Amino acid sequence: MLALTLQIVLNGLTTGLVYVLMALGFTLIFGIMRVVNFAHGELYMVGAFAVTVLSGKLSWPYVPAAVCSVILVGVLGSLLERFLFRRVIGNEFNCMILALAVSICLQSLGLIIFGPDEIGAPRPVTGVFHFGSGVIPADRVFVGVMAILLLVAFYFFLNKTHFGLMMRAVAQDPEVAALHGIRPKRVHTAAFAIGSLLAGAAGALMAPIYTVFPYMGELPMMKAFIVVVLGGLGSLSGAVVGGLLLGIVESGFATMLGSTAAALVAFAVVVATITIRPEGLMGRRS
Amino acid sequence: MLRKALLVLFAALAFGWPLVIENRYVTHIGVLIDISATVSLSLNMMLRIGQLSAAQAAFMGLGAYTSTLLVMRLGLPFLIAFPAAGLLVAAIAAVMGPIFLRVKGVYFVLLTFALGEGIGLVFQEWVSLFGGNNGIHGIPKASLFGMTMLTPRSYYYFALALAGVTYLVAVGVFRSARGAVLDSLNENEELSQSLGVNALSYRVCVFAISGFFAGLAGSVYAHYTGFLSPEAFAFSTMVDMLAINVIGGISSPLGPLLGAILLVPLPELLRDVKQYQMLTYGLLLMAAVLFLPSGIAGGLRSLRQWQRSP
Amino acid sequence: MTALLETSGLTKRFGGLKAVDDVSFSMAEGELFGIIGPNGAGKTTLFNLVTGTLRPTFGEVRFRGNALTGLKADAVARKGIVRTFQATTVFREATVLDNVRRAHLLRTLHQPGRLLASLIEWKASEAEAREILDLLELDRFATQKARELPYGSQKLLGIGMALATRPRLLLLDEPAAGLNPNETRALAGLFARLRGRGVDIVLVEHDVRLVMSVCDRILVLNYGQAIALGIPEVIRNDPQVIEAYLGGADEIA
Repeated sequence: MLALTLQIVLNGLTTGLVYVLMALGFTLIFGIMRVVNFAHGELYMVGAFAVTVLSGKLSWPYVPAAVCSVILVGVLGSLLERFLFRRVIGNEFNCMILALAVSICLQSLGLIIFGPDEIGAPRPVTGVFHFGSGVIPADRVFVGVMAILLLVAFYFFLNKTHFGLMMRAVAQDPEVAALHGIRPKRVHTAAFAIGSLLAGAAGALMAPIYTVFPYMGELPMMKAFIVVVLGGLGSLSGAVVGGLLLGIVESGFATMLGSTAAALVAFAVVVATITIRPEGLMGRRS
Repeated sequence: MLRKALLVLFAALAFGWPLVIENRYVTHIGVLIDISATVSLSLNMMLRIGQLSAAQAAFMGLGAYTSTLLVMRLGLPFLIAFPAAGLLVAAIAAVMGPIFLRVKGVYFVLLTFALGEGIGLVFQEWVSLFGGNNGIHGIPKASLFGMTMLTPRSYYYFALALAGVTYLVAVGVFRSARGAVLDSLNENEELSQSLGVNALSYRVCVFAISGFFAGLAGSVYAHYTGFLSPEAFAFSTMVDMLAINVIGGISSPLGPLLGAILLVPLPELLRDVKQYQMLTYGLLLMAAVLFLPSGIAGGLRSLRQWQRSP
Repeated sequence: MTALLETSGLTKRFGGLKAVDDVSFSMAEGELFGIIGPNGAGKTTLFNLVTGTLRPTFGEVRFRGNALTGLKADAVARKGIVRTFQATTVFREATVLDNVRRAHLLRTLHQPGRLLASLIEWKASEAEAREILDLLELDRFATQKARELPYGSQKLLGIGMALATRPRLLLLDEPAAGLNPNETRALAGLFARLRGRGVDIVLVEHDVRLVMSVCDRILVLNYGQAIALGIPEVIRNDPQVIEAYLGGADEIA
C-alpha cells in the first residue's frame, strides 16, 4: 500500500510540476490583464515544436534547444500582446474571443507546417531512478528538476526584482500602480511574455516525454484551467498548490478509477468551485 | 419598412432557392446552415443578456441523444421525440439555471465550459447509453405525420422552419415589455433589482428558452445525419457557434443568421486546402474582433446610419 | 400598534470591524424618520442591511411585523420598501418620463410569468408617471434624456422612479448630497407633499439641519452604535450627540 502511494505521489509530483508551470502562466496573464488566454495550450505546443525542431532536426543539444525555445515562445507572447491583445484590452469578452482566434490560428499553422502526425523529440536523459520502493524514469526527474529551477527563478523575479514588484502592484490595483508612475503597458507585455514563456517551457520539457503534434496543447490547457479555477484566478500560490494537488489527486484517481473518471470528477469540482466560491481556494474576493 | 421588406425577400429566397437549384450537395449545406443558425441563435439570446454560455453545443448534444434514444430505444415517433428533446434540455437548463446564473462574466463562461466538457465526457464514457466514442449509428429518419423525410430537401425545409421560429422567438424575447425589462437588467442590474425585479428568474427563463432550441436543433441533426458521436458537440462546435455570433454580430438575431450563412459553407469552399480552412477561420475571427467588433450586422447598421447622416 | 419598520440587535461585522453594532429602533406609521451620524458611523451599512443589499451578522429587521432579514434586495423591494441611491442611478439614455414608466413596469413585471399584464400596464403607466413628475416638479423635463438633467434633478428622478413602484416605505440614501440650498429647501417641500400621499419615509442624511427640520424622530449613530433616538429637540440637546459631532456643533444649532 505504501509502495503504491509512494508511486502515485511520485508520478503525481512530476506531472504536477508541469501543471504548475502551465497554471502559473495562465493565472499570471489573467491576474494582470484579465485575459482568459485560451491560446495558452498552443503556446505550450509552440515550445514543444521548437525544441523538437532544434534538438531533433538541427541536432542541437537539449538544454540550449530548450532555452532557445522558451525564449522564442516568450517573444511570441510579447508580440501577441503588443500587436493584438493591446487593442482589445479592457473588453473581457473580446479578449476571450481574440485568444480563441489566436489559438485556432496557431493550431492551423502547426498543421500546415508540420502536418497532423505525431513526432518525437530526442530524450535528454535515459534510465530510471529508484526512490525507496518507487521507480521514476530519469527523464521525468529531469523535467521535475528543470521545472523547480524555473519556478525558483520566477519566484525570485517576482519578489526580489524591481520589475517583479511593479507587476505585483499592477495585479493588485492597476489604477494605484499607474498613480505611482508604473506604466501598465510595459507590465502587460512582460506578463504576457512571461506567462507564454512558462507555457513554452512546459511544452519544451514535455516534448521528449510525450509525442508532439499540433493539438497537443488542448489537454494541458484543460489542466491549467482546472488548476487555476480551483486555486483562484489570479492567485499565484493557488496555481502552485492547485497544480501539485491536481497532479497527485489525478495520479491517484487515474490509478484507481481510470483517467476519464478522474477528468469527470475534476470538472465536477470545477463547477462546484465556481458556483460556491468563484475566487477559488486561495483567491481574493474582487 | 425597408428592413421588413428585405427580411421578407430574404425569407422568400431562403424558401425558394432549393426549388430552382436542385443540387443535393448544396441543399445539404443548407441544412447544416439552418441547424447551425438555430444553435447560434440560442447562443445569441444568452449573449444579449450578457452571459456567454459555452454549454450550447453540449445542449445540442443532449437534445440529439435524447431524441435518438427516445426513437430507437422507446420506439417513440419523431413527432414526440423532437419536442421532447427540446423540453428535456429546457428542463435541465431551468434546474441548473438558478444555481449557475448567479455567476456572472468570465466565471460564467468558465462554468459553462466545464459543464460542456463534463457532458461531453459523459457522452464518451457512458457507453451503454450513448455508445461512447463510436457513437450511435443507424438513427432512423425523421417522419412527420406518416411521411418519412428522406431527401435533404425535406430536412432543409424542416430545419429552415425551425431556424425561422427560433429567429422570431429571439426577436420576440427582446421586444416590448419583456425586452424593456431585459434591457434594464443589462443596463443597470442593481437599479432594476432595487425596483423589485427578480433578475435571476428572468435569466433562467432566457437560459431555458435557449436550451430548448439548442435541443431541437440537436434532434434534427441526429435524424438528418443518421449518426451521432460525442465529437460533434465538443468545444470546437461551440467555438463555431461563437464565431458565427461574433462575426455576424451579437446585438441582433440577424447577426447569427448572417454569420451562419457566411461561415458554415466555408469548410466546403476550402475543401481542397483543408489546413487553410482553420487558418482562414481563425483569421476571420481575429479580424472581426479587432476591426468589426459589432460584427457584420453591426457594420451594416453603422453603414446605414452613416449613409443617412448628412 | 405594530411598528412599520423595526430592527432589533442589528449587527454587521466585516472581519474584526463592527460597522453596525447592536442597533435597535422602531418606526411608526406616518412618521418621517431620520438617521444621522458622523462619517463612518455606519449609516450606509445600516441602510444596506434594511434594504437587503447586505446580510446582517446578527439581529433582525421586521417590516409590519414580518421578518425581512435575509431577503435579497429585490424581494425587499417587492414587500414595499424601495430605496434610492446616493449616486445618480437612472436609466441614462431613456427620457425622464420613460424612466418613471419603466420603474413602474419593472415593478409590475418583476417575474417573467407576469408578462401577460404588461401591455395594459405600460399604457396605463403614462398618466401616473406624469403625475409623479408633476409632484417632483420635473414635468418640464419629461421628454429629455435622463443624462441631460442637472445633478439635483437626476436625484429627484431617482425618487420619482422609486415612487412609481407605489412603495409603502421609501428609503432615501442621502438625497440632499450635492444639492444647493435652494434644491434642499425644495426637497423639504417634497417630503411634506409625499407625507400627504401617505408615503412613509426613512431618511439617511448628512445634512443635519435638513433632518432636524423635517423629521419627526431621529436616530443618531456613532461608530456603528445607536447613541440617541428621539424628537429633534431632544437630539439637539443630547450631550452624546453634541460630542459625536464635535467640530460640527454649529450644524446642529
